[in-house]
Amino acid sequence: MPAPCWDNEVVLNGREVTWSDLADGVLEVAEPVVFGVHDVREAWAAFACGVARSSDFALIEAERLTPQYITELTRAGRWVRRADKVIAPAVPTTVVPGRITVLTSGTTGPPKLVEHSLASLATLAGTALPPRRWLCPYSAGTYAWYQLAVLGLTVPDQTIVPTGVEEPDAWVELAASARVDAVSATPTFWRRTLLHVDSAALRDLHLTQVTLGGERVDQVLLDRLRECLPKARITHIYASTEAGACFAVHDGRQGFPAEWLNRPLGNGVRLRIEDDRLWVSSPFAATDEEWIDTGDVTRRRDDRIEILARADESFVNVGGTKVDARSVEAVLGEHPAVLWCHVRGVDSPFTGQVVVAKVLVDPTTSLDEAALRRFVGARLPEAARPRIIEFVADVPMTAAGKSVV
Amino acid sequence: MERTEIKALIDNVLQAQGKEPVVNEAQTTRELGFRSLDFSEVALRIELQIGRELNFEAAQLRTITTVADVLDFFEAAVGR
Repeated sequence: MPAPCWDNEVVLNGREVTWSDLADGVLEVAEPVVFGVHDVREAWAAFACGVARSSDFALIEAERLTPQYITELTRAGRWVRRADKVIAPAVPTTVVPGRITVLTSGTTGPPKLVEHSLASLATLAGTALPPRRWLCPYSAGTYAWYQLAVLGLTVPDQTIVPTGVEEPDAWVELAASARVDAVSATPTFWRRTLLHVDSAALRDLHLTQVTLGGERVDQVLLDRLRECLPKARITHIYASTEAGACFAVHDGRQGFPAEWLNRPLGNGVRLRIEDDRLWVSSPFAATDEEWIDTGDVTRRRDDRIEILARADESFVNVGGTKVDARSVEAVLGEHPAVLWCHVRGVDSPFTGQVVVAKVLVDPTTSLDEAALRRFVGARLPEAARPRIIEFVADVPMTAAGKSVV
Repeated sequence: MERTEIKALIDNVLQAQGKEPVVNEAQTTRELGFRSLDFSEVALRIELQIGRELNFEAAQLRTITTVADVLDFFEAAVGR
């Protein structure tokens, strides 16, 4: 179990508070409990108190606690606490001291409760890191949020600066005033930032570390970040709520080296590919199963393994021809003006489905649909070419800072 | 949606593939290289313009050989 660094700090509303200050609050509640948190301070205080008391807890942003979600949580034997309201579990409960439950979003079904602990979340425990001040724009209670929270609590000299995910301009201002030198965020967050924030303002932050996690990362984004922030180390992390944090890639290339397959990595994680799908064995997993099917489809390109998509959402059936939507995205993403894209199939009574795309292009360029269609037309077979390319003004984003599509 | 607007959509779809536009309605879809995917694209673009799904008889599809047939088909589908 990693030893908490209670003197590390979190910057809340412009003021630095220590973790021991945060853990000092009164938190007399029945367990296991899910805290519905209303603001940043409440989230970080709940986490600090939970760890200090080895509580059996979870936390989630209160606005995501719909009546249906609450029902599912109480059926799973959890107390739910939101402001002064406490809702009792619907079934007998079992308290597991030190259990930290990560709740998945539940936007497409009932929430999944994934059981971790401080130890399984502390993927960087024992790692020597330079002192850093981390901007944390993740949604409270997500796996990525816990990763930064545990980093801030268990690795010496790490300060956390929480922020929301909505306004790129606002975070840059906050980061400058709080002397942030490291940012961990989703690729969607970075794409929006590169679209809305002047590159000189970003460079003025003097970031030394840029981390991307929570979504698939593509080469175009990595290249743009490198161009914009030449002095920062750029890292993308492969992790999932179930499998835990598996590996971090620092070389500025998408995917990971093929030589990492079938041998233990330094952190004890092992990787293998079966039928193009990535399987992981991780000491940070939330399951006792030795190998976990990540459901992510991969492809090998020379010495690299690239992660294309979730297996269950990858294919479009065009007149009997299977089109890999993520491969089409990869081709669209090769156009230098394309900042983001999403490809999907839409039903067609004539061909089963046809491929359509949404793209966000660099507003300083004059790329139009016809030109982009010519670009992909020269690179893709007919069935795989998007028949309609919709130009969007921004990347649609969820509360967790991920792309909604 | 007017017949001329539908024809303009067909021309756009053909030209985006580097094919020649329609010269007259008696031309066959085969001559023009107007294939099922092109047909799907025109249908999608019409649906986007009118804001609803097209409604049509599948049996009608099998009788389509000329541009006039395509235009008749979409005109009917839009009007249903």
